Amino acid sequence: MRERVRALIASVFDISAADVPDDARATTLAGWDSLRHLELMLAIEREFSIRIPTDRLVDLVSLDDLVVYLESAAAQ
Amino acid sequence: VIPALENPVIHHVGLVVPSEEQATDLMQLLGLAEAYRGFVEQYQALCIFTGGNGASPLELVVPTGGTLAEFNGGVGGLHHVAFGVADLVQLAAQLEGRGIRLLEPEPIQGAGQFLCNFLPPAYTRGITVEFVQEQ
Repeated sequence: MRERVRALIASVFDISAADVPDDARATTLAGWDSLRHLELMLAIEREFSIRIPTDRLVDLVSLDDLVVYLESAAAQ
Repeated sequence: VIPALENPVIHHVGLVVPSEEQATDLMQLLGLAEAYRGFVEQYQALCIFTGGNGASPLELVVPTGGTLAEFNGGVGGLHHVAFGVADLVQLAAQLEGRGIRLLEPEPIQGAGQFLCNFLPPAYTRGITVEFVQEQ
C-alpha cells in the first residue's frame, strides 16, 4: 500500500519515488499546494476505486495519512 | 446558507497566463484595458486587472515562479472565480463552523486595494474560489 501511494505521489509531482520520503507531507514536500493536493486526491480515488468524503479530502496531507486512511478503507 | 455568502457578486475571474506579453495580447484580443496591477509576493505573481468603462474584470495572473508557474502544465488557463464579501474574517469564522478552512490563516493583501483569501479546490472538487474584501 505504502509503495503504491508513494508511486502515485511521485507521478503527480513528477518526481522519482525515491524523492518521496516516508515523512512526506504537504508542508515539507515542494510543490504540494492546494491544486496539486486535489490532483493527488483524485489520482488516489482513481487508483483505489474509492470516493474520499470531502471532509477527509482536505485532511489527508501526508503519505502516512493516506496509507492509514486507505488501509482503513480497505478493511471495511 | 452561510450568512456572509448570501447573494455573492463576482469580483473578478482569474486566469493564469505564462507571460506579460501573452496577457497583453489577450487583453487586446478581447478589447479589454488594464485597470491596475500589482505584485503578490506570497504567490510570486504579477496580477493585471482589467476593467473600466463597464468592462468585465479579469485578473491575468503572470507567475514569476512557484507552483503557479506550473499551473495546467505551465500553459495557464482558467484558475479561479472571485466573489466580493463584506468581511473575510467573519466569513472564515462562519466557514470554520461548517468544517471548512480557507487557504490562508489570515486574509492577505491582494494586488489592488483589497484583501483576499481562497477556498481550496478540494472542497469543490476542482474549482478554486477566491473571496475578496474591498479596503
